[in-house]
Amino acid sequence: MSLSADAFDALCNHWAVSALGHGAPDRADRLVNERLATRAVGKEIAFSFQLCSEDDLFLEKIALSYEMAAIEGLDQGKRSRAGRAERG
Amino acid sequence: MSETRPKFTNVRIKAVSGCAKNIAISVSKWPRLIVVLLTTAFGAWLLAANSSPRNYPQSKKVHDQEKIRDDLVKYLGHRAKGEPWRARFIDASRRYIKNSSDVHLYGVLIRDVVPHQDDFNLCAMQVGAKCPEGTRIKFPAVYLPNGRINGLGAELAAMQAGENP
Repeated sequence: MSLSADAFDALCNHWAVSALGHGAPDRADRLVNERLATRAVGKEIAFSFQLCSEDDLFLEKIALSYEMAAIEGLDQGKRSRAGRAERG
Repeated sequence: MSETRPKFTNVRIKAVSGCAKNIAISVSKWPRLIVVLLTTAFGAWLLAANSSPRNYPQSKKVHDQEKIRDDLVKYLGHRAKGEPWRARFIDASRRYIKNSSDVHLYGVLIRDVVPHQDDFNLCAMQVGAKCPEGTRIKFPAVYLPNGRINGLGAELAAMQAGENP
C-alpha cells in the first residue's frame, strides 16, 4: 500500500491534529527526536535540551489527535479495500 | 471559550442498594438511552457505565485519570460516525485536545432508599478538592421508591426492546 502526498496533507489538516495548532507536529517531532537521542547516547553526551513540565502531556495529546484522525479514517480504509476487491 | 459551545460530559451512573449488583450490571445496557437523552438535553455526550456497585467514587477515577477520559473520547469517535451530533462532537473534541480539563463531569447516583446528604458528601469533597480549572462537576441523584432498583434493569431492557414495561 502506498500513501500519496495528498493523504499526508489531509492528515496534517485533520481537525483533531490542527486543534493543537500548526506548530504542534513540529514540536512533537523535536521532542521525540530529543528523547530518542537521550535514550541512545544520553550517558555519553550531556545534552542541554529545553525541557518543559508539560511535554509529556503535550505528546499524549498529539498522540490522541492522530488516533482520532485514524479512527475517522478506518472506514475510509475499509471502503478502499472493498472498492479494490470489487474492481479486481 | 464560550460555555455554550459543546464540551465533553462524562456521565457515571451509579446504582446503590442492598441488591445493587444486578442493577449495576443492567445499567450498562443504558448507553444508547443516555446518549440520546444527553444529546437532546445538554448537547454533550459520554457514557461510562460502571459494573462495580461498591466502588462509588468512580467519577473520581474519570476525573483523575486522563487516560480513561482519552479512551472514552476515542470510543465516542467511533460512535460519532454518521451521527447528527458529529459536528458537536468535533467541536467538543477540539476543546478537549487543547485542554483536557475542559470537560463537564456528571455522576448520576441511583438509590432506592431515603435520600441523605452523606450519599454525596465524601465523593464531593474528594473530587472537588482536585477540580482543575475549566472542569465542572455535577452529581445529580435519582432516588426511587424503596426497593425499586431490584428488577429495574430488566424493565429498562424491556423498554429498549420496545416492550411495554
